[in-house]
Amino acid sequence: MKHKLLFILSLPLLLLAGCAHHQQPEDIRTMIKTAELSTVQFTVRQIIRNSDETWQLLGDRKVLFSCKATIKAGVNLAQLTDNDIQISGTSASIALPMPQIQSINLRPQDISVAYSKVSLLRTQYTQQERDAILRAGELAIKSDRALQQSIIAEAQHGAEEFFQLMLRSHGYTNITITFK
Amino acid sequence: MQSTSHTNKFRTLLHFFLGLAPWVRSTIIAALILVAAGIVFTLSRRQSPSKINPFVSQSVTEIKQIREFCTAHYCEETVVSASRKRLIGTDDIAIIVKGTVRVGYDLSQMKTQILSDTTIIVSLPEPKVLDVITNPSDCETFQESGHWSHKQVTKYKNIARGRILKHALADGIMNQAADQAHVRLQLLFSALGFKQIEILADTTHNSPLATHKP
Repeated sequence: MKHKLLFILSLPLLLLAGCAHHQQPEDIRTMIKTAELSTVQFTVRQIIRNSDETWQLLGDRKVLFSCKATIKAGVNLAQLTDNDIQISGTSASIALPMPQIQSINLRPQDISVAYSKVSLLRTQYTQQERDAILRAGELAIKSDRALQQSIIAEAQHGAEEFFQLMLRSHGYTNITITFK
Repeated sequence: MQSTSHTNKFRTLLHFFLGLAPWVRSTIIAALILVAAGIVFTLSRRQSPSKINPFVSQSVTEIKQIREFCTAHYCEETVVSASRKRLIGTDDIAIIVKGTVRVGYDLSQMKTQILSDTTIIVSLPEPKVLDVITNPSDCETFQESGHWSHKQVTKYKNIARGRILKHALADGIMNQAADQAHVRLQLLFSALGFKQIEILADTTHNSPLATHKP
């Protein structure tokens, strides 16, 4: 009898324990000073497809995302030192740091579901699953060596052109641009 | 010896089961079928994100020469959440969004005026928001119950982007970017041999936010 009474009394406590207390975590903010000169912007179109046939007996799930990513690359002028710039009369020589990819931007509004099919006995893709699928698109850009090489080559060409133009407009005629 | 004991146990259980009233037997069989179907259905509901192996095809559609000088980054992690009432219970979603705001200058609008061999006047446009970056790898779905469409989630992510941009501006990213640009350009032009460098703000260009949508 005592045990039964204890059980009945503990029920409201158990129910209360299940109630979640939502607390908004504080935002984490940082500000960093940089000196990135972006000289090229690539726009990449992607099709990301996922076919989930884990439970083929109950039907499959398929989704196809269409994305647009913009990639910017250029040189980090913070790495430029006094020794990298040599001036003598009308001759100027600059040793620029090697270009690098500075930003990859996949805006949420540039990601759309182009096709989706979910069988009756299967549930819709969850947001966690969609996140995992979309991360593959970002990873594909980061791991595409050929794409990176062409971005770097274009950025190098852009940086060279920028400094050539700037130095020429300042009266230098013999200009040498190298990359360290 | 052990198999004989198992067979005996099974026989006893079968004997007990067959001894039950037909309606009790039917109820037990129906219950077992329901439990099995429930297990299969629950397991089929989701695919583990670790097992997701999508196929990606990509092509470059545009290559553009730009002259952007990014002088300040602002990073923030924020949480955007939403909930909606259902007939029974509530659906909710909480997404942690890590965003980066890049602020700087369009150097194609920079003007220089050389007054002498050692004096230069640099006229810079207003700093502007170059990018607000919240990539898929920067977003984590912390809590999710019920179905939330891609469109709805995109809306919440855009709210987070707007909030991050607003905080960046409130924290003075434009001033930070301007200060850093002045320092960097002073260093660059002094390395080119100029002794007197005057950097002016050219306010004839558009407002920094006029062209940027988060």
